[in-house]
Amino acid sequence: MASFPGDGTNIPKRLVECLEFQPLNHLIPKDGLVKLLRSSLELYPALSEDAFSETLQDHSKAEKKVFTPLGKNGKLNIRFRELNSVQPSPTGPVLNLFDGLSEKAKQFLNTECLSSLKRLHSDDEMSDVDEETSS
Amino acid sequence: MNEKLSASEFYRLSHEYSEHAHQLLRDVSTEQQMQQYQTLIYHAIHALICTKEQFQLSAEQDVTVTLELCNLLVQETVEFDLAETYLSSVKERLHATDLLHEKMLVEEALVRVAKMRGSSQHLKDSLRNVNATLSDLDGSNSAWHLYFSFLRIELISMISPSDQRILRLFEELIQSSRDAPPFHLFIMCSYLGYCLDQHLSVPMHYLQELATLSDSEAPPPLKLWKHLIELLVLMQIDSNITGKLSEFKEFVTIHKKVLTSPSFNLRLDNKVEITLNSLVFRYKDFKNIILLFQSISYLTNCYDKKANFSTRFLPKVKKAATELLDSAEDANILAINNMRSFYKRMLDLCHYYTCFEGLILEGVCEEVTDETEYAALINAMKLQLAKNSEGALQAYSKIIDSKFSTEFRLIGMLNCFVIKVATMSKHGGTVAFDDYQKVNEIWASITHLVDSHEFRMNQTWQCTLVVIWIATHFHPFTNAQLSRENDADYLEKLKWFHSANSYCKVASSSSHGSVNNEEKPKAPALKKALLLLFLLNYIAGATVVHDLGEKCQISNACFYLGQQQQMPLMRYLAGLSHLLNCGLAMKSKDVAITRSKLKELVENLLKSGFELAQ
Repeated sequence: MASFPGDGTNIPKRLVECLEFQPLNHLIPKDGLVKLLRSSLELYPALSEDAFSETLQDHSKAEKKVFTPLGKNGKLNIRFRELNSVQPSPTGPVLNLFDGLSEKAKQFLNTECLSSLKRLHSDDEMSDVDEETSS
Repeated sequence: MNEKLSASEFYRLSHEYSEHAHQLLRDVSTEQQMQQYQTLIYHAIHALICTKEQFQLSAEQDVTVTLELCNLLVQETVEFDLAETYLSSVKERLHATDLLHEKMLVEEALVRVAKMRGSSQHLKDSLRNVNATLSDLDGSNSAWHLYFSFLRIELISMISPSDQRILRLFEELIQSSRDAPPFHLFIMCSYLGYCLDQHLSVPMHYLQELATLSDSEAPPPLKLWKHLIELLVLMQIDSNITGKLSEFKEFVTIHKKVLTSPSFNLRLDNKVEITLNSLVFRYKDFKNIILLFQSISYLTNCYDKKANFSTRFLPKVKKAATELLDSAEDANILAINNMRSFYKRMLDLCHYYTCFEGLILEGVCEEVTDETEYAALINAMKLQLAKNSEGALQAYSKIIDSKFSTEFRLIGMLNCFVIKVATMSKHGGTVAFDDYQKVNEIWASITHLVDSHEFRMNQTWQCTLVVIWIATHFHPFTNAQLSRENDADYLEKLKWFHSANSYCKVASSSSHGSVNNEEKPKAPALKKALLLLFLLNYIAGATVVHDLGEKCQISNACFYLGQQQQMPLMRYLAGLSHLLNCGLAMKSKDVAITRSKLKELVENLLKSGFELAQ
């Protein structure tokens, strides 16, 4: 072969020199799959007991106490978790989360309880309203 | 506001607030709604605290209320100190009692809080407590011993994932859990999962035990989990998964209707019951997982129109994961966040593997900017394809020196090794001693890591080592003079692999004669990764195949099959060798055709950045 195509060019002619520009792309990592699967699993003791079930009668039953609003005297200062947002979505119809509570639950609801807390994070970007369930 | 409530009324009120909030969380979309949500949760927490603090509860009641309170604190807030304070005080209260079950529940909750905190100090403290609990439990015959043994393993692997104790502890737990068959099965799966994660060889006898477990012994979600682990084991060693996939199909047809919940319970004894929770237990999530796994297992076949599952399925999985990202049913903040990160991770994986596919088929892919091991590898490969060897070397070195898993580091090492030897080959002649030593060190690390991990069972990896070693040590593949002292019979192994994976349909027995003796098992048919089969055949055709007709068939196949992927330089080499073989075989027509195709290829290569030599 006196001359051949590519002779006199810098196109590599040796295998290893060609591999310099050819990643070994048949070695596909699979690490992420194992990690994905393992990360999805949680286990914890099943907790289904009711602290005040019929079988657990106790002496405190008759006792009654006032529902003291802890928020006002600053005893209970809570930093909430932030919700990971998916993507910003247009605001849907107004959903009032207090709708549907029982009379008693409404009676004891102090809607001002959070204003006494130091709000650490208030930039929760909420998203994805399901229109069907809004009222 | 002044109405008085009983303890149980406070307790019910708390449940109403939290359940109501959880039902609506997925529809929360404004700042104001979020405040309403938090107000409800605040009241739920508050009411539980009132129940605890204003009334004389029995110890058992106190435990239940405290555990519920801590669940709320962990799921909804970052008040871990508060949760720990309540747990510690109820633990104190239990001290003088013989309420073993309650003690264990509280101890377990403390471990969970420590795991949420995640700092190595908290985990170590927690491990100490778990060890103490386990010695307290010694001889008690309680299934809590099994559960805490598992917690101990989890804590150790969170503190240091490759801790030597982990394997031994798993072995012990597998033995001691035999009386609780479903839990035993779960622990075996966890053990295999751990081996997979660490890329250790999986113990074959456990795989066999898993395979023989009768169908009646476990709840369907657990069996599903078992199948998934088995599938991953096959994938890690690049085995054929078609048999496993049909098992899945059969299994799902029978159990599909009951796989509707992400959690199920396992009973360890008459007192201890645990909940297992994973999105993949639900059929609607599971089917995406299986499509993703199938895509990845067949990714190297993407050039093959009959088996390009990744091309077909990855976009599907992407679409489904995007939809499921927001599919929460009743849930707390932590559960929603976990679910979203699960699908986010799945989307990321789809993106990465689509990139790998792009690099294989087109030599290009979308931008990847994040800081993961996948992004690092993809970007290093891109630099290499762009002929920026300096940059590629740096990028691969970063991967090698990182804390990434063995798998990524090994891939980095192998590419790095090739680029370094290529540079030496280009300079030719004697090699500088430093460089020489450096590449030998890299090769030694590669073989050491392969031998001490599951890659030793993986034929794709084994064959890769063979072809890369020969390509970097033999003329005419390289011009660099490397010592062949580390030759582990690579030529023999080359013949062996080639005997079952030749591009020549009727390979003459003469060329493989020396391997066809009784001692060696039949060579495996490799996965149809085009680059690997190309390298194997190209090298074998030039070294161990002597029959000219056979050589011609091989170089012909390399030249034509090579165009199914983006690897023009490989094709160029194959074209040269085919030209030579056809010339020797006096096939003047083939010579003419090959020459003209090669000319075309050379023109394209010149356009892509190569140039005429000065």
